[in-house]
Amino acid sequence: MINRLALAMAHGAALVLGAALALGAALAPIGARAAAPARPARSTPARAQDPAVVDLLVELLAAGTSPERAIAALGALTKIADPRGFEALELYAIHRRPELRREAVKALAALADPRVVPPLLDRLGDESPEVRAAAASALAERREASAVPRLMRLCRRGDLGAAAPLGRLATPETLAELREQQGAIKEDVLATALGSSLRRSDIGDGVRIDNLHAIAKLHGVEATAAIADYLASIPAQDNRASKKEAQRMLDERGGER
Amino acid sequence: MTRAQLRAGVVLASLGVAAGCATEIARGAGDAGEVGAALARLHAGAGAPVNAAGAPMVYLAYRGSSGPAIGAFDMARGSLLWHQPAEPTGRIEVGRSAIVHSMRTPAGGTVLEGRNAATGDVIWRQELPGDQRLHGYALDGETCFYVARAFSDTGTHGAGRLVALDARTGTTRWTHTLPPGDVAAPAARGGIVAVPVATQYVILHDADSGAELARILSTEQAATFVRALPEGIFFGSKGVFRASADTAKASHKSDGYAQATLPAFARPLYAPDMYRPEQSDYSALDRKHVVWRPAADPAGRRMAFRDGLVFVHDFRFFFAIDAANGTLRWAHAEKEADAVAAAHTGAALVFVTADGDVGGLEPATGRVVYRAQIPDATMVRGATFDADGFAGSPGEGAAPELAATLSSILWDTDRRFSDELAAYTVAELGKLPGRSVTADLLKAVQAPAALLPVAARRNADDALATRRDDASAELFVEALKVHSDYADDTRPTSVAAIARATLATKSKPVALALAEHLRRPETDVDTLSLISQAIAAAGAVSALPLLRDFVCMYRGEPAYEGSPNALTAAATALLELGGPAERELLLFIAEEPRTVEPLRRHLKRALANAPGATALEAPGP
Repeated sequence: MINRLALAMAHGAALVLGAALALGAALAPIGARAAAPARPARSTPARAQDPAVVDLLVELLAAGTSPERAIAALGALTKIADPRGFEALELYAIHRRPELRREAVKALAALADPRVVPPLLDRLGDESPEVRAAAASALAERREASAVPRLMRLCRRGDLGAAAPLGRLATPETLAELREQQGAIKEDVLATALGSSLRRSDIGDGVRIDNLHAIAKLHGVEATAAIADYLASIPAQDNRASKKEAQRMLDERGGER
Repeated sequence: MTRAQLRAGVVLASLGVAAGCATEIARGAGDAGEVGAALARLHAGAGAPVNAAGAPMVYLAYRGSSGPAIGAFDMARGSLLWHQPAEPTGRIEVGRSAIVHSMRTPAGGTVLEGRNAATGDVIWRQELPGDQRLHGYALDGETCFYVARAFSDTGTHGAGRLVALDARTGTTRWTHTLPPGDVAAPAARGGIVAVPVATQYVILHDADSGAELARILSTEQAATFVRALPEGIFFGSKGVFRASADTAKASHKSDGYAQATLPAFARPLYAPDMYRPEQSDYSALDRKHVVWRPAADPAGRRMAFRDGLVFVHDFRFFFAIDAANGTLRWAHAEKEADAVAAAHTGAALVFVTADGDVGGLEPATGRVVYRAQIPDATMVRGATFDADGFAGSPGEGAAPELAATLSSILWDTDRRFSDELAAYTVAELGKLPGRSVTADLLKAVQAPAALLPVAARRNADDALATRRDDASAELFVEALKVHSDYADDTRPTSVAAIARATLATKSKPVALALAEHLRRPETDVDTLSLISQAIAAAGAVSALPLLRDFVCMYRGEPAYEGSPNALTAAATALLELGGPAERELLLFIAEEPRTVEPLRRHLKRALANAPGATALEAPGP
């Protein structure tokens, strides 16, 4: 048990130490109970292969603890990114506390395990914008195309947290559909979604220009920022057509001011 | 007050000592002897049509292909006897050989028009003087009676006049001056003409001479209507009094009074307000009122509704209501058009729809006993029935299934129907058994506010909690698959109500489906408790893992320090359904310091009282 606790601490689980000890008191043989010296959390790289740490954290979450300790345990599991934590994370992804759901989603996002996709897709429907945003980012990071329809629905509902992930995942056809949503989707959401797509390397420059034209029709700082961010992301020596178009649009918007 | 005192009051009134019309016309009012004697003159009615042919008829004001018209439809033959171009401004009243209705003259005046009942031909016209307002008219045999009163820009004034005309010729038979004050339309039958006056009197006159016979006094409620039926003379406003010696001074405590227990959505309108001339024409009031018929009473004293029923007419719908307790007996829904007129013939509830259908329903069951279409009547404005005793074809056809009818009413998209009607329909639907009803209720709770009002959805939710039929379990399981989802804009379906129902039905499949909602963050804490109780009641041991997860995950949740019911209910269910492993887990939770105190206390008590409590020991510190 001592070894397991020490390992947990090494992986950033200092906050769970007390709970882990309590858990040990309940679950481990009496002879194995021993207090380990408290040490500050360290940001050492996770040793994901160590089974004892994961087991400990999973046991802690499964047996239940205070919200603060649960958040710390979820943070540790995020760093460890061990698929054996999946079931506990899936359970906590629908915890009643939104902050715990958000941390569980982040931990799920860290897993290189295809089982995480359904719970992440499910959390796109969370009542909490932060949880939805975390799930959306995670799915975008995984290039999970199956998320696109739900992300589109969220954008239609004005969910800004879904906008950038949608821009990153949308197919050219979906981008075309997005461009036609002016008036139906909030302008900041639309600008963010289309702006996010501009920096993708897997779409043609023609699509970028179409998206820029759509952004140009939008008002607000998000539209201007989308164009500016895109320009900033292009290397100086790159003279693609969309760069000139973006520059022209930015100049026009500056002129209008 | 004695009769002598009443007489004295009249003298005082005539001297101007007492003011107000009520006092002025108080002579003899409420005298049981006079009222009884007057009503004794009433010729017994036959309960048959009054027209000379004795055929069940409906007289219509409608718009045909060639413009506004009136027509006479023979319900027995199912044929339109005649139709004539006309645009009446008052109801058609029916006598033996003539019918009468009012018309507007080109100059804006009012004219009474008499027509041959057999042909519709105009046989006389009598125009009222320009300073007279027509309050209404009625026919009895071959006499037409009307009430008029002078009016000017400052309103009506002076004494009203009750006038009798020969209905065949229009010649005046007599004129009688009514007491000063407000006057209403008359009702006539069997040799008696009754006229409400000054809102609290109904004056009975001799139809042959116009002589006043007696005055009924109604001080507890205004007498805004009077109806002359084969069963007798009836009056009232909030309810119905049978005119008799017993109700000479009308008291709602008398056996001569009846008032139906009506649903909240129903307007307690037993008849139009006869003091208001505008209600003497066909109007929306004819589409939303109470249809009733008195039960026959040989003694002529007791008032009760026939078959104990009244019929709430609400545009396209009819609801047969037990007058004593408000219980819904049956309902009928017209699919296409409003019923613009409805009447109780004594043997059938008959109606005419705006698109020209004539229907008849068996009062006791709602079975359709008559159906006919009036040719060329594309827009019926109103109708008057002369069809007493008409029964249609009783015994034919099936009685309507109440659940199906209520369902059709519930999902009717006609937005005129009130929120109260929707709520009532759901509540009544919820009282009926069956899978289809459960499906309707589940659909209702999920309906958007634009489709169903909050009260209706609340009633549906309450009704779901009372479902007891096994056939509904599958629907509940299906409904419980719906979770809250922001992206899809969905909400869970009546989880609490289904949990309450499951407490009684003890359905394991439903309990298992409910258990999934223990995990859902959107499930409110009260519902969490109900779910755990339902799981325990159903003995759904397959839900143990979900109960374990719930208790473990939230045992240290500070939010449950103050209101631990959800936790304690889950722990109780776990203890009831679980075995040694669950008991061991609960022992751990009871001792573990992070467990919220209320749960710890609860568990220590529960574990101590649980069977086999001594077999297990709490873990050491």
